[in-house]
Amino acid sequence: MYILAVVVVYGIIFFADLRPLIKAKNIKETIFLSLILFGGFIFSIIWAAGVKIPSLGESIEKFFIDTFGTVYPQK
Amino acid sequence: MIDSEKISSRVFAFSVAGVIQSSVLLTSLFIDMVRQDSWIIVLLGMFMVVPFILMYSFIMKNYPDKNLFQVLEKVFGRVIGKIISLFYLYFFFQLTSLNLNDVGSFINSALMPNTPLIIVMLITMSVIIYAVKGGISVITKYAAALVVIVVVVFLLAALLTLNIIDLKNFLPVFEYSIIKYVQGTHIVTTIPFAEIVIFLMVTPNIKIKPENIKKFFFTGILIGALTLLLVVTSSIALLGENLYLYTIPPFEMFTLINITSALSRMEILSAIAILILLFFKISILFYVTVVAISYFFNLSSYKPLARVLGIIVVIYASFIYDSMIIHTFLAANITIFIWFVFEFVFPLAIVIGTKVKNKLQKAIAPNSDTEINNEQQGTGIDNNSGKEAMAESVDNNKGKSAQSSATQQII
Repeated sequence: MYILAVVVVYGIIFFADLRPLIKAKNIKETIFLSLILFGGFIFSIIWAAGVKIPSLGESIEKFFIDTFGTVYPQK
Repeated sequence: MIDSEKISSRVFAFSVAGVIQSSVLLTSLFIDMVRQDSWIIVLLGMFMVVPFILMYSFIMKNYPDKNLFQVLEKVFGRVIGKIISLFYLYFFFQLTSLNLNDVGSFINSALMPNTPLIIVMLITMSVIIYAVKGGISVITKYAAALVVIVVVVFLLAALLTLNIIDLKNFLPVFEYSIIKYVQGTHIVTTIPFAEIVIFLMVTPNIKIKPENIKKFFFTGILIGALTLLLVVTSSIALLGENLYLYTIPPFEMFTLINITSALSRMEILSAIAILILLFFKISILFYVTVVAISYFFNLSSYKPLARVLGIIVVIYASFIYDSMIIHTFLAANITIFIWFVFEFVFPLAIVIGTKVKNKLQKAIAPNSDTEINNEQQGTGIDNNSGKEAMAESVDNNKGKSAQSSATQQII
């Protein structure tokens, strides 16, 4: 159900954003815009399929806390 | 420039105020730490943010037509500038996602407990995308109105609860260890106050005289911080020592308003005020994120990115933290240090870099002036010698022609 919703929503977004993609000023811009469009679509599908994606922020913060500990005392 | 729209200096000041006011939801982060002394933390935070504002004003004054990424490239060079810009991209994206998650959690816990979080965030984001596609002037057009409405709502709450406040709730003062106050001040300075660093990304869009930047920055901070102080003091006066038990004290205090049957249970007013502010803050944050990505990848327009990034932000915000407990713990212990790098360390490096560059340029300028003078003098001598040489050659020619005419006469 989630996957279907994502495909429909993303489909609408994709076609709505195709025009600026075509009008992009150079090939580099076209490639980047296509990457972000398709990348976002793949990211959404993976998430909708229930795959657990690690949170970037939480991973970075946990890395810091595991490496350096906390500066302020706990209790 | 990706977005050529301009906002006035007043709108800028109210936008700063709005961004700070929207942090009323985050008061629970430091209220839990020093409870009845939380108002002291807000006051200390107001003083601690002064050097931050001075730095941001300096950067805006020195680079009025450049956004933060362009300034980084100018000061540190292309490679280092791009690397620091990449870190800032993470910072903007993370801030947007965190605030969107806060909106979803607030609506979920206070207003619509049965609605899935993702739906709430998706609907909120749809409106934000629409606003962001309009540009910076559309987002900030009603900043003044929003800020005034919020101040009025919280003032009204304070007035309508005057009959039940207890000033003894503020006692005892300074009950906790100093480190708790330090941590609380650190939280209030980095999380709501210094987040105004985001405005460095819209410097070229602000129509402001360089000498007035500091004034409008301080005005915005003052309005925002005083509103936060009003909310915190009202919450302490009303909820007393049970304050830390509530997840959103500014929301809970409205439930206590009970003047007559007509004027009771007014928490919906608080909910509207908080939602308006968060919508405003996320709109600015999301705009900054989208514009930052467009600058980073040298795109001609930011608008095609708005919808796609909006969806990615919604999805990322849905799993940004495993639980609220982890979120609160990390925010109070780790996030404040990471944010400090973006809000203080990098801007300070820009200020130092700019000052060093200016000094070097001044030191080089007099030397180059003397070199130019010397060169000019050198060419002057050459010219003179050239003239002399020409004169000699003319004389020689004259001599030669005289000699030839004399020979002709003899012949």
